[in-house]
Amino acid sequence: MATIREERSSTIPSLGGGSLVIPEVKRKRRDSNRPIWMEEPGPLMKIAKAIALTFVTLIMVFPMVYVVAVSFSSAKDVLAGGLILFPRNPTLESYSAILQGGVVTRALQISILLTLFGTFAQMVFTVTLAYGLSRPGVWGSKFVLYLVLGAMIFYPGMIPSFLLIKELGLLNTYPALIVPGLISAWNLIIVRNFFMNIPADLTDAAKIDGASDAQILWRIILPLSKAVLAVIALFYGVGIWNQFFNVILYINDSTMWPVQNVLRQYVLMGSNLASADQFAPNQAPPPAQSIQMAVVVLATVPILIVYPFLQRYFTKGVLTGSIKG
Amino acid sequence: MTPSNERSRATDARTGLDRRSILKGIAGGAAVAGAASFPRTTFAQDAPATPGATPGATPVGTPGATPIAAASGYYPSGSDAVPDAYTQAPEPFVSYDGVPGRGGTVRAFAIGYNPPPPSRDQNPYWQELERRLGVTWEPEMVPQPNFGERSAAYFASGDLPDIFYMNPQQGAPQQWQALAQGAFLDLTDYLTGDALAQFRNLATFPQYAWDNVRFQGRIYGIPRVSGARFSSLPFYRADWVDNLGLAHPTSPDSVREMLVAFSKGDPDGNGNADTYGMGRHWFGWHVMDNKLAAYMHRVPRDWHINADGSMVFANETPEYRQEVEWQARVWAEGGFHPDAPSMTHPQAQAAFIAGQTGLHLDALATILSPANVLSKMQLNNPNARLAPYMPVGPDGLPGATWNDPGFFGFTGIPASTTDEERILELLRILDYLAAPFGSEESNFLGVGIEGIHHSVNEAGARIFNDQGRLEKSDLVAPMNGIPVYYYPEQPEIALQMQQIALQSAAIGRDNPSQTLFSPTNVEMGPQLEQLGVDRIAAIVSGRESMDSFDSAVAEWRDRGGDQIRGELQEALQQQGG
Repeated sequence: MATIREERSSTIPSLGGGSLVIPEVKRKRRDSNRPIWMEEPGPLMKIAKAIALTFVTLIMVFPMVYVVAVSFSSAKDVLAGGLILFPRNPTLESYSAILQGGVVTRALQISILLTLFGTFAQMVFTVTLAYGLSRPGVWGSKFVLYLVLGAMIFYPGMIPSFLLIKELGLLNTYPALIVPGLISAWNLIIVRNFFMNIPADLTDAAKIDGASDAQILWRIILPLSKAVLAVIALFYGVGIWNQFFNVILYINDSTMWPVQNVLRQYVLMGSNLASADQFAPNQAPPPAQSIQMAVVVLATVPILIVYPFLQRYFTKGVLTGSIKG
Repeated sequence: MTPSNERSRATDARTGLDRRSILKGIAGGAAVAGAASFPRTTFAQDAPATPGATPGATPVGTPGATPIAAASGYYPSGSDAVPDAYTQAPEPFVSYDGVPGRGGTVRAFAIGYNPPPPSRDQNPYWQELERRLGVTWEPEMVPQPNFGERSAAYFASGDLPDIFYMNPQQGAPQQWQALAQGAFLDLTDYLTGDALAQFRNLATFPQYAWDNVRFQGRIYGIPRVSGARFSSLPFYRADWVDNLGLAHPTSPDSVREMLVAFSKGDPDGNGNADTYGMGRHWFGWHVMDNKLAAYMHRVPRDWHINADGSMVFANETPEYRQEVEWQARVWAEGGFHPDAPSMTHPQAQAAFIAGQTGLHLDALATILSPANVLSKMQLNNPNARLAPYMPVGPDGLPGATWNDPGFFGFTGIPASTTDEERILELLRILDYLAAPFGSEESNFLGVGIEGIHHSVNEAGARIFNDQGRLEKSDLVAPMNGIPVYYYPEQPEIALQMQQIALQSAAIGRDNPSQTLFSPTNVEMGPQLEQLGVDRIAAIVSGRESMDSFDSAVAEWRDRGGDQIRGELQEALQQQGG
């Protein structure tokens, strides 16, 4: 960084006569050729930034801390009201209440298997279609591309989707949760663009050596696309993990519910919200808020575990589909 | 009326219910109760010296009266608008001969409030249920917020489950249209007169439930009776009232003063100004807990039918105007929690439990049943005591509470079921599920198999355990028997609840538009409610004055109120007035 140091001092007259020599503080002068955000900020600015960022961080982190703290509190402490940032009497009773009986563990198993198989299926379909669409001169590729883009823009609504799944005979089965979202148009476009940006020299050289399209995909394209594949896999995985409404719509049997639906029942349990005054028979009292918070923690922890491992691909990968050349 | 018996002023220490206040309420309600028809109950005077008092046919609400059991532990309420109370479960009796099902599969759709059950092969409750019903039982449960969407999906596909629970007020207005278009069987011929007698349990359902469940004059489903006609009641902190040295409230003015004193007078004595009168309860044209105000000022519920057949909505009555003025005054004097305009019901309840507010409206069972509001409140405030407030009007006469229709949804059969035998089989299954309290069937349906789902304590009461709750889940949600007050963990609560319920039912008032259907109401209802929320809340909280009240009501009329009135009046005429 080019800095111009100027050593100057200024002389000012002082009150008692004579003059004061005040040396100028050595400061890096801004180079007017560079935009201001490329310069290192002054100390005041640094402090201001630190304060602002700390403030924003606290705002972001506070709800999560609250949720975790309440989930480890006993019902009595929660009912006393007030702010809980650290549980007064930490206890695992909420977690044991949820995990006992096997319903939540079954739901977690279902969710994990659904996510693993579903993401794998989605990746296979998306990558192969993206590869096909990224090769120039493939017959029908324009038509298929427009089909995919059209699906991205127009959403027919809940009832037509339900009727389609019913006609396909997929009602009340797990494929109903995977098949409709098998290829997400957004993700397809990202992957396709990335494949198109891989230099043609590599694929040409492989063709000359006699590689088939499948071998090119498997041996050359995929190893180079780790970043974008990780990101897309993460998007898909989180999408399947968070799935809720599709389950309500397509799955009749509540013993097949994945974890989000089951945990939501815990949160809603006993709380007849709309008409709290009606004598709805046989309803248990609502669970303590600590149980509801434990529910929230259980629903998000698995994804939180996966995120750090994929995070380094995240920023790089999200942008790869957008920059050309 | 004789004044309340001073010897009964002891607070029930175990339950925290302020007996003295109940009795004061009884004295106030007795004026109306005397005219009410409670023919069958006999009460005994609490004679000072003689332990065995002579029972006589004294009316409900005689101060100092204690109910006596008709049989061991059984206290009939004497009114079909109030559940019977049991302090002890009766000897199990058989309520159903044989097995209702013929084999085959039954799909049942209802709202599920509990986590899903373990799968059938790991669920003894489910297996036993199928054995008793004689069918393969396939429940299809949906959470309440998604009830409407799931119903819509069923109607669109045309493939409805065999047993379909309907409750259009729970966010499923499509069910009204489905009913109007004939998606469900007209069951009137099966469920009236002599035909109903073949279903022993259903035949015991109260007549008002069968009357109120009619849609366009016909019965399309079996009501899920709630056994009680009254809705929520106001409860206030009696210990706060005593701490402040106030008299227990007996009029709108004294209620207002009490609420203001709760806010200003530091009733919990902790030196902080952290308490308030009350928070919020309900939406629409009745904002900020003004069911209390509505009860006191005798505002009709929704519609009132004049003698000539014309109908007037609650917000057009002078009583409603008084109600809004009362609320505005309470707000101006600081009786409301500052967050009241935006509080939800769970928040208001939590504030009440935590001791931030001193008055709250909620269902009787929600407040008093074990492990519910009162118990939670006493976890942190062992000295907390609650008293119900029986509303009294500005003129000193009793107020009017609102009667519920007496059921919570109804269960129908889709019109695609044409086989007569199948229809009867499904009705028999519902009849089985409606087993009366104390029967052997009801014991299983309620608490499952002894040793697995419940245990029997020293008093002989069946105590439901966590395993039972887990396995039972919502398997038998589509239908239940007539509920009673029975709490094996704390038997005396049942009696207290019955007492309060009787007082509330004595001043209860029906909603005459219950069985009338207006399509515009289904379409425009939420928006008109929101109009009420916005405008009335503004008036009450002082942003606008009472001058804009008339324009708010006029706007309601223009935007759909008159149209709804027309449709309802037409429906009323069709029904025969």
